[in-house]
Amino acid sequence: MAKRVFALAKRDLTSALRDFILVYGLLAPFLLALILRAFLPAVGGASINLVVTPDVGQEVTGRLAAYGSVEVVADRQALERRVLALDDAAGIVREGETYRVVLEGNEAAATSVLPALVLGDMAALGAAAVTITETDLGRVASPLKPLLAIFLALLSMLIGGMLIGFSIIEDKETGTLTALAVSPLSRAEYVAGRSVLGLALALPLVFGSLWVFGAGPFNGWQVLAVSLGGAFLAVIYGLYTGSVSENQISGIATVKFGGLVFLVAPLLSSIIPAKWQALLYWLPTYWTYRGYDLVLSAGGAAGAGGGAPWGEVLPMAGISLAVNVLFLAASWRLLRRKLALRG
Amino acid sequence: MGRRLLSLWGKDLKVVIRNHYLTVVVALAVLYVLAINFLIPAQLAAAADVVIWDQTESQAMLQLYQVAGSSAGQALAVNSEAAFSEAMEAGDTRVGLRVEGRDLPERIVVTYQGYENERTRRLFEAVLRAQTAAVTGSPWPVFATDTLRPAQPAERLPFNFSLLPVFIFSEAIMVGVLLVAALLYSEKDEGTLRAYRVTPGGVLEYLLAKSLAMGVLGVIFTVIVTVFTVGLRVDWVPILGLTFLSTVVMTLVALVAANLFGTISQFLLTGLVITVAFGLPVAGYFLPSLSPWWFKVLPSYPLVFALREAYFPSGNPAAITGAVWQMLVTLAIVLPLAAVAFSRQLVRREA
Amino acid sequence: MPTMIEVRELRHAYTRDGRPAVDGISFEVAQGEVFGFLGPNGAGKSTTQKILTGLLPLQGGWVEVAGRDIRHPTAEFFNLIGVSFENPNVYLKLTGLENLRFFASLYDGPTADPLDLLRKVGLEDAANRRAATYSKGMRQRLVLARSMLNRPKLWFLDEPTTGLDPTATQWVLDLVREHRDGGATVFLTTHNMHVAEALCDRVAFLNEGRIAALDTPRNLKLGYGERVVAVEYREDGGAGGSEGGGDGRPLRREALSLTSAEQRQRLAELVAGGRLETVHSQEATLEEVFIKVTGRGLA
Repeated sequence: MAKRVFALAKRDLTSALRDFILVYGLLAPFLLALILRAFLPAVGGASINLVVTPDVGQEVTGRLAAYGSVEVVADRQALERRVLALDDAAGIVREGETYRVVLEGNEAAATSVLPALVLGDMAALGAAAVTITETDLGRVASPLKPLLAIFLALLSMLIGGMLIGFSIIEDKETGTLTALAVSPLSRAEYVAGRSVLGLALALPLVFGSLWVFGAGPFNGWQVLAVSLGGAFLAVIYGLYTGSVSENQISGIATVKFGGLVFLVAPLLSSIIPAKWQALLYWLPTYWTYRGYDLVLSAGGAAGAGGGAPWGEVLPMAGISLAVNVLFLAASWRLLRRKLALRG
Repeated sequence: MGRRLLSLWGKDLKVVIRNHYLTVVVALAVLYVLAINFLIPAQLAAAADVVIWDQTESQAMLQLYQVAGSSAGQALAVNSEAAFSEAMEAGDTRVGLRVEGRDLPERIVVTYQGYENERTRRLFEAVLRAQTAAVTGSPWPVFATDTLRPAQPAERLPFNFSLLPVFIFSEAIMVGVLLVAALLYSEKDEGTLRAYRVTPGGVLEYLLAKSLAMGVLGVIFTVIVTVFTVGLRVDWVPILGLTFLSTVVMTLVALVAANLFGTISQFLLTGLVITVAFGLPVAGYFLPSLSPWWFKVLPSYPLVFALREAYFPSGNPAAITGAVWQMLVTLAIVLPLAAVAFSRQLVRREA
Repeated sequence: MPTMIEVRELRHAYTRDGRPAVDGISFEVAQGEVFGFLGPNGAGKSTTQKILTGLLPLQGGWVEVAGRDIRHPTAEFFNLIGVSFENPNVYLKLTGLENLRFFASLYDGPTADPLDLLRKVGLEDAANRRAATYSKGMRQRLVLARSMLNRPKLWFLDEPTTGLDPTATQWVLDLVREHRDGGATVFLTTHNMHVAEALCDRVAFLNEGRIAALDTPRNLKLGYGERVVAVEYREDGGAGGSEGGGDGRPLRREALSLTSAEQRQRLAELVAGGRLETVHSQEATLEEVFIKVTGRGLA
């Protein structure tokens, strides 16, 4: 049995290598990771946008730059055009000895209130009655980072699943499924063989994309534990896609729908009120998400071998695995009819 | 050419519908309606809470923060070092204030998380100084403000409805990216592409018809979601017009890329990258100060703002026309690109 | 007769250093002619046809189809031609009728009635069923019907009878004759000698990318065949043979060459003897000629 499973997997690998699928499969999450990584500082660095005319003066312009990004435009007209643009930007112009703030009127609270305060601060500096000093907790990573990292990790696993799904569809379309049906291969062996490649890809993809993204530091063993717990995910997703779809086009529809359920829903859980969270308990990806959240957020703190307490990680991974297996078992019943190798 | 285009459009629609894609679009639309109406909150739980340990007699700063309201975040009052540390540990977006002084604030120690950049910190401190000036009765210079467009709706849009433009973008418009490629590869495999090539039909109309078919799906999605969330009284022309136009443009972008690959499995991942890359400017929708130059180049950036303006007008129709223009320019670029890429690949892959 | 297709030194290779699929062939097809490429699989028939229909680029040589340079096929060109493919390529999600209607809408000029065409190929009962439900033979017939939509002046048929039963094959033969009588030029490729023999005005033997012979079927058979007559006759006298004829005399067979004076004499004797039962002239079949010329069979 194992021989047949590995024969199928080997054929997949050969085909994938020839097709460059493997290369693309490895590239995309890394590319995504790079894009997100480049993007993250922009999010963290967003303070307020200020636009000034030259008569504001170099000194003031320079001091303003300590509070937000400053753009110097030619004149009042250009300033108004800039303020009216889609994003939030506040204009500052000189009026005699003092200054005026120019707003569009629809800016978010920060941009509408802060510029005047900034000007006030610059004028009042030194005369303030209160001393302000600062310190910090040393949490250097942006809170958005874990969320994006989890997104990448989940996506990597789902990509593995998609590859599995589409190879099943390809078998259906080319008729090789029928050819396999008249071989000693059983249905379970077929699914196992198809899954090997996707599963094998999923783990390196998870680690690789997290590394490229710079999601560290995190406890690698814990990430592994959570990933293994969720590894069946790739199989489930692939099986679901491959069975339900009769051709490539339906396959896309299935991937879309499945992606929404498997990927977006857990991410939405971060904004959904707590009482509704129970709605998501049946989703295998929800638990994997929770596991990654635990591990990747905790990783922000320094400390070798640190990370989240194992006492929390292991149960999470365990639940994840259990839900995955249950889900797979339930789907198997439903889907075996659709993936009829014989009859 | 028009007659052929219509015929191709009809054929592509039939194929898409008979592949159950319409069912999926409707099902997704229903899911989103449910999510928007029932699941997603109207107010996001306030993220930026402030932990205050006001050690002064008057507790003036604490009162100020408590009265100031919850638009930016809650004020969490603590009375000890231990409570302070615990409260700070608990939230990764919290800021801590230790207010020291006898009666009125004399010294404030701000504890940040650590990831806040210099500008953010200076801004916060500017706010603090203004607040302490108010509390201690010190003078604080005031500056006048000019508002260019005074007539704005007073209330902020509820969060769940504000997501409408984002959902329309991600589901109605980006849905075509993968699907249109699948349609193309299917016809290649089926052999019908070859059958088409020996007819008078051209490349432009072939590609455009597929994009137009996707446009129809996008419009259907938009109609369902709109009607069952905000209702019938909306400005349908810009909403549907924007949806249709941008779906067509995005699918053409996908078609340019689809020619680099031969099967859907190969294209799948590139399609994902395209989807994410074009989706990133949506962050600017949520963080209006976030606007790097490359956001503005991608058509998705003006699109989500234009959709918001179409759904919830704030007297800024330029947002819509601007987006339309950008879409048209993008269309003028990608349509010939797609045609050229397609023609090149057609002959190369014939075997 | 004006020339419909003119090909000089056509070359095509699929891989840069591989064996060329088409290795320098030259031929002409006159207007109104039914011209056939006969050869085994891999001979280069389909490749040539794809070049002539603009599906493959011209790598080497010179080709003119319907007076036009094939390197820049125009919509006008495609309005003139009809192509029936070897692998049935129809929209599986559309019905037979929808398939035809859609393709008809792509042409500029008047088109034949789709239902009528379906009737001609025996598919009118399946007209409203999705092509996915058609058998391979049915799809093949649909492809054929589709190629007739624009009443093509130049009709390309690639293995038109593969996968068809004898009745359907006969339909195809009748259709081709009908079109030829209507003035169309037909270019067909096949590995079936009966089809070539039945339909083609001229046949080119294609093997390994080269034309081994080109002539009318009759000339080919006569030229390479044996001028031989096979006769069966009853022996004089003797006990009843295995094939007991009317009077139980055994049946004998002889092959007599018409080029040998001696054997002609023998034939004359047998004819005069009145005991001949069957007489068959033994022109070679096209396949036999093919084997003689190229050293390999059509299969």
